[in-house]
Amino acid sequence: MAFSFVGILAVVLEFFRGWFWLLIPLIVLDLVLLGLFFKRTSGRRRKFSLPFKASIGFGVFTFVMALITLPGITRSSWEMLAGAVDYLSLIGASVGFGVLFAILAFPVMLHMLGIGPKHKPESQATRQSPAPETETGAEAEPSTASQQPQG
Amino acid sequence: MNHKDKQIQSAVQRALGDKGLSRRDFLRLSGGGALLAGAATSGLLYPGTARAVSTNARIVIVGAGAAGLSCATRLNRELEGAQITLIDRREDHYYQPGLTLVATGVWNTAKTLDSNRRYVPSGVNWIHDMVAEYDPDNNRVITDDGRTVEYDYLMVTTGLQVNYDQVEGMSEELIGQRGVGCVYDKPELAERTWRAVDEFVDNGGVGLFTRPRGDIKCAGAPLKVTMLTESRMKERGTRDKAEMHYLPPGASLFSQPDADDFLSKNFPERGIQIHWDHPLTAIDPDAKTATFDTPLGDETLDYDFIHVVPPMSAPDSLRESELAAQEAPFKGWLEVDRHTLQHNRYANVFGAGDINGVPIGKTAASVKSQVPVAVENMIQAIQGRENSASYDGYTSCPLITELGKAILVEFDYDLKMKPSFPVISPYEEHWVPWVMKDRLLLAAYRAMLRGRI
Ligand SMILES: Cc1cc2nc3c(=O)[nH]c(=O)nc-3n(C[C@H](O)[C@H](O)[C@H](O)COP(=O)(O)OP(=O)(O)OC[C@H]3O[C@@H](n4cnc5c(N)ncnc54)[C@H](O)[C@@H]3O)c2cc1C
Repeated sequence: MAFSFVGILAVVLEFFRGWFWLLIPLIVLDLVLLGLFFKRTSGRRRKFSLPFKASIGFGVFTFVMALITLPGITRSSWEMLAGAVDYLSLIGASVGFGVLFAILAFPVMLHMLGIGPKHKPESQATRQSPAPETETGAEAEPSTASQQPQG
Repeated sequence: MNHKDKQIQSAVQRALGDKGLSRRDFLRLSGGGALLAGAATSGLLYPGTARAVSTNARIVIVGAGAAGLSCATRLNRELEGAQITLIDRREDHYYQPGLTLVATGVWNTAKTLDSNRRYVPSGVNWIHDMVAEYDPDNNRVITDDGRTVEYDYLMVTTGLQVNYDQVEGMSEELIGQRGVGCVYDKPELAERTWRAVDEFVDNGGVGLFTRPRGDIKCAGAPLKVTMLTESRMKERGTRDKAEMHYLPPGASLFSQPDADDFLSKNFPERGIQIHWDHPLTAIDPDAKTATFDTPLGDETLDYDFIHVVPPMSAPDSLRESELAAQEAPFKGWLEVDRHTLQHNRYANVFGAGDINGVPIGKTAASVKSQVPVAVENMIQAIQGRENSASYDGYTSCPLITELGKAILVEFDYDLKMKPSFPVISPYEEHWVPWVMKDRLLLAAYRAMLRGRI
């Protein structure tokens, strides 16, 4: 019995229906956090590289945890896995969890690590000595003194 | 627009500019995203034809189980103007494929309980009553309450009945007491069965696992209960305390030959003795003995735990009606053509699910395959056309061999394996089919009730 793509999508929807109470607030929270981030950082530099790396790290951690615990969580055990299908499915599911958690964590990471310094007015920028360049070009926090009006 | 809004707008425009997108592009893309999201959550997810056939036909569906609800959803969607009536007194909906897991303590009962109301589409008239009499010559059914319901087309989806009284000494009340279990066919009975299984797993003794003559729903269920009980004992370290016997009514364990071969070797390997040709005829719950009708005469065995699977048949009202097949091999079941699922004598009558007199396929997996065929052919009949859809006998059984692994057996009328996912071998035990059974099939079942697969 072949399952169409739409059929598989319908089953996936039905599967997550029981988790909507958790997933929908989480997604809404993430969207709100994203919106807030853009609002908070208007007029500031936004740092994406570090939050992105941190989210990837979180995703990788989730992937490893899923790899170790999924057989047990499904009331099975590692000994029950047999053949490529089982191992590839386990890896696939773990990657899925890793990606999901990385995406969910990204807005939080943006707030924790992604808010850079205020943009400097043109006139100040020309008078200041340039900040040392970092990997992303925007991640070095200028000293408090350099943010003060130079008057 | 206040100052902050202006700041946000310019920030968004800056961000879009960085990516080489105009505001117009952004709106177009987000509109597309919204459309996709809408499609994913709305009726666009319905597969098949998007047509709506206009008709004023009166359609009666008898039985609001897996097949009945699924038919109601599809017919309601595909017909415009039809008067669709669903008849069933039962309010609760049971996810029966989960009962083997309840009876072996893997799931709690709540997971298998649902409500029919959630799946009956608006626009379908639901009569909370049971059909007591079929009168196909006059195109009508009569309910328990004496109500007459007339139809132009009839869909029979009553499932089957479990005949406890055909095993002498057996009754529904016994289940869960004095070492008697029976996984069929309500969550409450499966839960009580777990009590008896649990005690046997702890204390050991002699365990008898039976199967009756004739067609039963999910022929894999008695095997799964046996294997899961054994697996539970290994888990608790009590396997040595128990002697386990499986007693089929004939000379095979399963209709599909490859699965039968596997089980015939696997059972003895795990210390489950097979006693061929042993249909159960009676139990004595006080003496804890069971009697079997063997080719050498009656044989009585002692037990500490017995899993009784009573004989099954079409519900009495159907079995005694003109709609039932009058001759073997499907005597008493709804007499339909095995491919078109149309009644052989009454062209306006169709059937889906366990009630059909077809060679194999008393499973929810078969319901998934049968319903689109029966619905499609009924719609063709309404339009005065020839039947166009055909059922190939597809059925499936995730044969749980141990807690944590299973074999996904899928086959058709020719008893040939028909794997939905060719990468999953139907000849070997795997973790993936176990996860499917434990986590995914309930979602697939619900999608089926909603007519989406
Ligand atoms: C223990 C167990 C394990 C199973 N495991 C699996 C599995 O692993 N995989 C699988 O695919 N399938 C499995 N099944 C089988 C599957 O559940 C059934 O094949 C499926 O439910 C059949 O659907 P149906 O609509 O024909 O009957 P049902 O779902 O039983 O519904 C029949 C409905 O008809 C109603 N009805 C009966 N008589 C009348 C009347 N006279 N008037 C009005 N209404 C009436 C009943 O009240 C009921 O609501 C299992 C079943 C059991 C019991």
